[in-house]
Order: sequence, then C-alpha cells, then structure tokens
Amino acid sequence: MRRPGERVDTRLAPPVQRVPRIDSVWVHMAGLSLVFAAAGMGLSAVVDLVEHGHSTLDLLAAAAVTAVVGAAMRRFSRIPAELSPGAVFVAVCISWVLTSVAGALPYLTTGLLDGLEPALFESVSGFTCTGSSVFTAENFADATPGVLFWRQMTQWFGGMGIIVLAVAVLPFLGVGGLELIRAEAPGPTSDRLAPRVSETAKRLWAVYLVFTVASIIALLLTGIGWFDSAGLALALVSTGGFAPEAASIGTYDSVAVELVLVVGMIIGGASFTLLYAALRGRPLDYLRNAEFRGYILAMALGMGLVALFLAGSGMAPGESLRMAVFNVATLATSTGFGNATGAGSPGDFAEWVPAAQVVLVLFMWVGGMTGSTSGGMKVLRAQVMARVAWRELRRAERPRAVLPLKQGRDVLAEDVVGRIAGFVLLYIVIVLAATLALTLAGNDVLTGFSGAVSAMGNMGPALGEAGPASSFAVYSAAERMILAALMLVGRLEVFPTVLTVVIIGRWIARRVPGRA
Amino acid sequence: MTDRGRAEAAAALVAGRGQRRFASAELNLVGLALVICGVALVVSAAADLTGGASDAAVLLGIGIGSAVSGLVLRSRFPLPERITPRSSLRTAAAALGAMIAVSTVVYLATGAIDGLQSASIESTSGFTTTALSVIGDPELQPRGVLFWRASTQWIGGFTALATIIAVLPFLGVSGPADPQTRLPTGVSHLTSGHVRRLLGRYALLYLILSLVGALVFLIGGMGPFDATTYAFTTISTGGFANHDGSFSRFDSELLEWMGVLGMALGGLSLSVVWSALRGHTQRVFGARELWAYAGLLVGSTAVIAVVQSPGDGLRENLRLSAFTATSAVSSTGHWVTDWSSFEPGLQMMLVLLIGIGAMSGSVGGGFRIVRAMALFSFLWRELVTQLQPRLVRSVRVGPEVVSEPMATRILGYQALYVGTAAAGFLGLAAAGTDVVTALSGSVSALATYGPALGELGVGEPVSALGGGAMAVLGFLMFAGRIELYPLLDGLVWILFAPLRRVRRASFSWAPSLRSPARRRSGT
Repeated sequence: MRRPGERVDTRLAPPVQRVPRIDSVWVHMAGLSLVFAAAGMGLSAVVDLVEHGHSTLDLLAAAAVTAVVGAAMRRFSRIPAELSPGAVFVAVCISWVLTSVAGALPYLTTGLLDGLEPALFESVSGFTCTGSSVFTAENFADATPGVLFWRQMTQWFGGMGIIVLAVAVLPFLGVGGLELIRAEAPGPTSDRLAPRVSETAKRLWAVYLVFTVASIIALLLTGIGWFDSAGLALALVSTGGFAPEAASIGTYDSVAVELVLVVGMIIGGASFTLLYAALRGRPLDYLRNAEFRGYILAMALGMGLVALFLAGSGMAPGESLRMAVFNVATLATSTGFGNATGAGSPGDFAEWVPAAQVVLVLFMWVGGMTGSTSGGMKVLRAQVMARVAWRELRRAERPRAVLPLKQGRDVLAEDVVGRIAGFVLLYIVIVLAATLALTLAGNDVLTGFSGAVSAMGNMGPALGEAGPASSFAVYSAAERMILAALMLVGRLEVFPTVLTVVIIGRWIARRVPGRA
Repeated sequence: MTDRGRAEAAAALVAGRGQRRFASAELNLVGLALVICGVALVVSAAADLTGGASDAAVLLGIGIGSAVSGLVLRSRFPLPERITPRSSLRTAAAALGAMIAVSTVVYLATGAIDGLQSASIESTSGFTTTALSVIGDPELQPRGVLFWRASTQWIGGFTALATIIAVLPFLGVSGPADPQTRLPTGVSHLTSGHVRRLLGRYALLYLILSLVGALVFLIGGMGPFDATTYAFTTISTGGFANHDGSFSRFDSELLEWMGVLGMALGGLSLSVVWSALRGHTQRVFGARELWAYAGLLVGSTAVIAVVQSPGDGLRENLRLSAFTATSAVSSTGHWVTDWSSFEPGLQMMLVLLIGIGAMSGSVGGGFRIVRAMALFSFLWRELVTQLQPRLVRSVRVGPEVVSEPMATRILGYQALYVGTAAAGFLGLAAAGTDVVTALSGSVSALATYGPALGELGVGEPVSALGGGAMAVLGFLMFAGRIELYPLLDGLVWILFAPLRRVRRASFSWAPSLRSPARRRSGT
C-alpha cells in the first residue's frame, strides 16, 4: 500500500511492456546502425544547405526513410541476455549489409547514379572503408556538396563500426587469432560481451573524434578549404580513401597535403588502442608494440624499395621518393587515396615498373595493424606466419624440438597460431577463388587478381585497368557485386561473413520441407 | 717399448692415417650422383652414335670422368653411422647441385649452349623436371645432347622422390598420405634398410613405367630415339621435348592421348601404383588423394573443354583439354596448345592447378594434393570451432586422421611455400618481367611445371627474360623440386654464417661466458 507523498523509484520498477519486443540482436543492432546512418544523412543535408546545393530535400527524404525503419527495428527488439558467437556474427554482417543498402538511398534519391547496383557498390565501398568508386568525372561534376559529403560520411561511419568490432568484439570471440590483442582494449575486462563493448566503444569513439578534429585542423592549415578538409579527414581517419574530388589527392598536387595525409594514414593504420594510450600520455607504447615496429619497418622498407625501383625506371629522385612514400603509405594502411594527376602521370601506379607494382600488391595483401580501421591480412598475422615459416626451418636442425613462437615478449599459444594460420589460409583461398571468378567473367589476369586483392583488403584502387587514375566502372555490374561481397568479407575479418553464410544456410536447410 | 717397436707403431699410425676414411653422407651421395650421371652420359654417348656422333667422344669423356670421380668419392667417404637432420638436407641439395654442375659442363663442352648461366639454367631445369628451356629449337641439337637432356629429367624425377622418401620423413614433413613412407621422425633413415628397400622398389617401378612408356610411344608411331626420350621426360613429369612444338609436333591423336596417360602416371603416387600391382585394390581405392587427383584431372578437363573449346569438334576439344589439364596437374610442362592465350579465367585456373600440383609420393611437383586436402580439413575445423568453441575435432584426409604436430608442420610448409612464391614474385618483377609473368612464373617454377603466362608462354626460350630472371627461376625450381627445406635451410645457414662468426668472436672475448675447453671443441 503506497502512502500519500511517498516517492516511487521508477528506475527500480520493471519496465512496462507496452510493445512486444523480439529477442534479436541483429534486428536491434541493424536498427541502431540505421539510426546513425540517418543522422549522417541529416548532417549531409545541412552541409548541402550551407554549401548552396540543391539536393537538401532529397537527402532529407532518404534520412527520413532510414530513420523510420531504423527506429522501428530498434523499438521492437532487444538484445537477448545470452549471446552466442554465431548470433553476433550474423548481427554484424546483417547490420553492415542493411546499412549499406540504406546508404545507397541518397545516391538514388538525388538521381546521381543510375540503378541500384552502382549505388549499392558505392555505398558498400564506403561503409567498408574501401574507397573503390564507380564515380566518373561527370558524376563528380554533377554531384551536389551534400551527396559528396555523405559519400565521405559513409566511410567515417564504417570506421566507427570497425574500430569497435576490431578492438572489442572480434578479439573477444577469438576471430582469426585476434584474442592476442584482447587484453589491450581500453575499458573493463568484462567476461560478458555487451557491457564490454559499450564501455570500450565510448572511449574509442572519443579517440576517433579527437583524431578526426585534429585531421580537419591539420588539413585546413594546408589551405584546401573547409569542405575538402572535412571530407578528406572523414575518409582519412577511417582509412577509407574516398575523396570529394574526381582526381583524388592529385587535385591539390601539394606536398603539404600529402604529408599531412601520410602522417594521418600511418596513425589511422595503427592500432587505436595505441592511439588511446598515446592520448592518455603514454606515447611510447607505440614503440613497445612489436606489431607497430613491424608495421613501420615494413613500410619504410617498402617506401625505400619502391623509390629505388621508380628512380631506376627514370623518374626524378625527388619525385620518386614522394610517389613512393605517399603510395606505399596509402596502400599499407589500406586507405587508397591516389595522388595521380591524370592517367600516366607519376602517381598513376598502374603505369609503374612491374617491380614497384609487385611491392604494392604485397602491401595490399598485408594491410595495416590489428585494432585499426585498415584492412588486409594485418601485420600481426603476417608476422606470426613469418615466424611459423622460420620455426619450420629451424626444425630442420632439430626435428623433435619444442619451439614456442613469440610475438614481442609474449609466447603464442599453439591454438592461437592455428587460428591465425587458418585465417591466412581462408584469406588466400577466398582471394584466389574471387580472382578465378573475376577472370572467368572476362577480366585479364592482372585486373582480376589485383581487383580481388584490393577489394578483400579494403584498399580502393587496383592495378591493370582499375588503377588509381581509373575507376571501378571498368568492371561489369556482376563483377562489382563480387567485389562488394569481397569487401564485406575482408572488412569483417573473413570468419564472421563466411560463418553467417553457413548459419543462414543451415537455417534455410532446417526449414526445407521434408527434412527433420 | 724398444726403439724398433716404437718405429713400427709410428709407421702403422702413418699408414693408418693414410688410409683413414672420413665418413661423410654429403660427399658419399654426391659421389653416387656423379656415378649415375656418368652412366647416363655414357649411354648418351651411345645414343649419339646412332645419329651424327658429333659429340660422342666429349660425352663419353665427361661421363667416364664423372663416374670415376664419383667412385673415388664413394670409396674415400663412406656413409657415417649417424646422420644429423641438417646433414641429410645438405646431402639432398649437394647431390642435386653436383648433378647440375656436371650437366652444365656437358652443355658447355659440347657447345650445345653458350654461356655459363644459360647452361646452368638448362641443367637446373632438367634435374628439377621443369620444362623451362633456353634452347630455342631443340631439333638443331645432336642426338647425344638431346638424350642427355632427357636423361637429366629422368634422373631428376627420381632424385626428388628419393629426397621425399629418404630425407623428409626424418623431419616429419612427408605428408599424411603414404603409410609406407611414414616413418618415425627424428631418426635418420637415410641408410636404414627400410628406406633402401623402398627406394629399390620405387626405382624398379620407375624403370618399369618408363619402359612401358617408351614401348607405348614406340607403338604409337615415334622412332626408338624419340620414344625413349619422350618417355623419360613424360614419366618424370619433366616436359623437355626434342621438337619445337612439343607433342603437337607429331600431329597424332593416338600419341597425344598416350602423352596424357604418361603424364597422369607420372603424377600418380608410386605407392598407389605398387599397391595396384600387388592387387591391393582396397588400398588403391581407399586413397582419397587418388580420388582428388582424378577429380582434378577430369574436372579441369571438362571446364577447359566447355569454356574454351580449344579444338574443332568434340574429340579434338577433349584431347587438347585433357592434355593441357593433365600437364598442369602433374606439373609436367608438355603442351599441344598455347594455354597462355586461353580465356583469362582458365589461365588463372591452370596456374592454381599447377600450384597445387600432383599426388604426394609421385615424381610430380607442386604443393601436393594431400597437403591441400589436409589444409582444407584444418580450415573447416577452424570455422566450426569458431561457432562451437569447445568442440574437439581432428584434421582428416578422408578417413585418416592427421596428427596435430603433422598438421602444424603442414601449416608451416604452407607458410614457407607461399613465402617462397611471394619472394619469387617480387624477384622476377625486380628482374624486369611484367606482373602477370612474375606471378605465374613464380608459381610455375616453384611447382616445377615450367611455362607460364605472359613472357613465359609455352615454347618461349627462357633466356629471353634475361640473366636476373633466369637466376630467380633457377632458385625457385631448385627449391621447389626438393620440397624447399634443403635449399632454404642451406640458404639460411650461409646467410647467417657471418653472424655466427661475430657471435663466436664475441664469446671468445668473454672468457667467463665460455670455457676454453668448450671453445676448443667448437660447440
């Protein structure tokens, strides 16, 4: 019996169930992502208004549709108490796909791209932080500031999702040996996924925001205007690689811009936990990290090699160094900016000597560090595989020796090594299968192979016909869908996507009539 | 002891020292390799007599020289009781290297090939059963040289098999397929009776298969000389040809089908052949790798026939497709049609097939089907345990369980294989080839197939690529033929020799770290 005047603590009272909610992590997560995306579209509409574009209403319409669907999904669902790894994988994949579908809306409502497929490709490429584009020069000329800003924004949102995924979710589930970096995540070391993710996400997003603002300021100082600065910064911190100009970074042809971008890309391709530590006053954590040392060393070596090869092919030494530093950085961090001023210009690496191209392809395979927004196989895994190979050779001397592998000071457990090896193997198999599919569809071997490597590593440009001075419009619609699928597979660290396919396949098989 | 007794003892010691024989597996087996080369050279000289006999004397001279020095080596350096793992690896590399050296001398002395590098590449290509040749038109060469060229592949094929049987089980890397060659690891088998029996058995089989091949080619319409040499290069999965157009030169449907059969036999595990001859059908049809091999052959033939349709009409289509597919899977390198002008997808497929290679326990090259199967099983386990983390599941090839250490070794081998291919990719591109040539050439040379895409297309002399590229290809062939370990191990040993010296020197400065007694013993 409640006495008059007594206050009821409503926070302790059980929530009143006005609407039936379904226990589904994927519906809830996808709803949340859509709401975020809608906010981004709204912001793009504002930018359009400020920049005197003429697509404000189109963008608002897209935002409204996305917001309604997202809010509804979120409202009528909740995260179940028990999360199985499979459910998380499915949720992550479906969220990414649905957000990409929603992200295609602005391209369609503004009428910039014809048809669903190019718009979807552009959107997937954005949300996976890849940076491959079907935009032609005419598209860039026709595009309103709002759409261009949205295009940059997709990458920024993608990056936001990825850092949480890469630092908190996937290491927790031990995907591809990522449990190695599990302890590094800032935030509580909880045994349950949900509280851990929300805490870690807040801290990482704060870092992400600081990094973005710093990048915008640095780019503004180079004098390229606020719209381009903001746009580039969004694609820079997410190692995405979209640029608001048709000729990418080649538009500015400025060493200062390139330098800022190189530094930004190197930080973006490194682990965000290290950046978090650095911002908390421990910058030396960078040097203590064995993966970071490998990352920097490999990049420096690659830059030197490419500069040598380019200088050997007759490019001026200064020019070749500039091209080598920028392009190795952009591909080793899976960003994918291009500094080509036109087809055949010094920055067009599809026209470089083969040796320099091969170095770039090898960097495309490896990509950046774990715990970052960059793609590729990751430096950590390449290091572990190199150690596995080295151990194999040392066994030649002592076949029965027990030789533990070490990463930095840590001894690697054999099952983690197995997971990493399994990841690398799956990565290779998928790239080769995709190369086979792309070449069977009629691409030449170079374009098919480099396109598959580039999409899987979320790089952006490829070699052959799809070089940095060209666009992915050279691929047919079907081929672009294969590439978009590859981007998703690569983006989500391979296992979740493949397992989602397995899980959905089993789910369908269970419902086929005539089967138990 | 009297003075006289002392003098006698001293004399005995001197005499004993004079006759003391240092045990060395490396030199002993190099001697064996030289004897084998010598015998082959003498036979080549005899073959030369059936033609113009222009080089018979040179071949005979080098042959006798090689055989005699081989015999001397063998008598001076007996096999030791115990052989360390590293020494057995060195033995494999040294034996192959010695044979290549002899062959280089042969090509230079007969004047068949100009230049040391070209001659050594032709020799490496021969003994590694790769089909990369610097000779533009083999028909201009005298018979003796051609016979020797085919013999190098024939000898090379068996050398590779002997390495797999005698050296690698010892390291525990022979692969899970062949129960007969699966021996306890860490123990030297190089001189064990079991390995000798196995080697003798396989040598006999190899000889029989080659004879049957020669006979079949003879019936198919080749002359005796061509029949013998083509049998040599087909059963060994080598791929050298006596003619400009390889098998297409004969323009005979029957011969091309016989070639398909020969190459398929070459890529077949000799243990399966042995079981088949012994009537153990259970063992033959129980081997999953055999089914996978057959599946790859039939499947890729069908894909090529449907997608490319390289010939006119069903029969020619099938024949050309089967020949190309079998040549790729068995890593032979004979050709009847230029597959580097096929559809890009098929080019890529063939490069992948070449990379996977033939059955384990065969003379073919590549990564080996059984290892690929084990890796797929491993991969599936990784996927499943991701969903059910507590699941315990073993890696399997068919019904057979692959032990965990073995699975780790296969993963390690895969890392080495991919790493070597990537190094070759970079090396070839750095030597100036285009990206596609570098990629396909690296895979093809490592799998000891030979021709590849781009500038390395079939029938192109490899010398056109220049010295740097030839050196890289030579390295890849050598490494790939003896399953990477011997060469890479040797390479690491050589590269780190200066480092070791520095370390040793720094140790000797610090007497507290190392006692003089230990330093003297050189441990």
